[in-house]
Amino acid sequence: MREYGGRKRKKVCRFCENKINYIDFKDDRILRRFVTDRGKIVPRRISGNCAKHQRKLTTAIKRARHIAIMAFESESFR
Amino acid sequence: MRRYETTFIVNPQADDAAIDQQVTAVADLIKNDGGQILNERRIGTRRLAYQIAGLVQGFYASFIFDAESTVLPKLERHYKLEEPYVRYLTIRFDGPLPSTEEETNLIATDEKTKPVEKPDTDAPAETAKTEAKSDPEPVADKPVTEEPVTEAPATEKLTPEPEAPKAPEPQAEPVKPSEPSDSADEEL
Repeated sequence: MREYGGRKRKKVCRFCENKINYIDFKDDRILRRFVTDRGKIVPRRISGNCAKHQRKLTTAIKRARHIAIMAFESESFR
Repeated sequence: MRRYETTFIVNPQADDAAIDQQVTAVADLIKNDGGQILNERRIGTRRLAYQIAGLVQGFYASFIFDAESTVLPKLERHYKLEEPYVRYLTIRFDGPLPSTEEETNLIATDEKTKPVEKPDTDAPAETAKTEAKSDPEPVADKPVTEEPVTEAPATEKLTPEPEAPKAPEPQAEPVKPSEPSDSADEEL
């Protein structure tokens, strides 16, 4: 683990780690980990995803929202 | 010929036969246009993340198929004209075809409300790359006896530096100037 300034640790892309190359928009169990409570997509600097997988993830989440698998906005805020 | 995936939601209030008819209608449409269905998945009734046309639940079904692009406008027209299709999504499919195991997994999670915790799919499979640092053959030519290299243990040293003694914080006197001093003994 590299350390920056003695605090932050280098995050590793979970998809790279597990060699997942295709992110299914119907699999909300995975997608749900990368949205906030409010339903916003978690940025890369927080989740630690690599650019390639973040792009795929973003597409998948947006597709999931269209097909009502994921919410555009969290229920508690409606 | 390209590979597509079409997913749609059918109004679940219809009876099973009617739902089945709607699903097969899509399959027929693809086949009639020379398409070939590679994977059919009836996910089943699940809760919608938000209401669509007053519906709270929807019957999800999905097809992965190879077809010419001419089938897409027909498919879309079909979805639009027929009443029971609540929502649809057709995309270019570039992933691997789902195995039967994944399919059952998905159905299991969708039919019931969040079953027993499944082992996390992204739990790291611990690909422990043990780099065996086996030394090459010991060089016998060297007469010099090498000292055993004492490697420092690679444990991360997280011992916090003994911090410089902080300047004693000036004990803030609990003076609240805004409030009316009810304990105004000191001010005498």
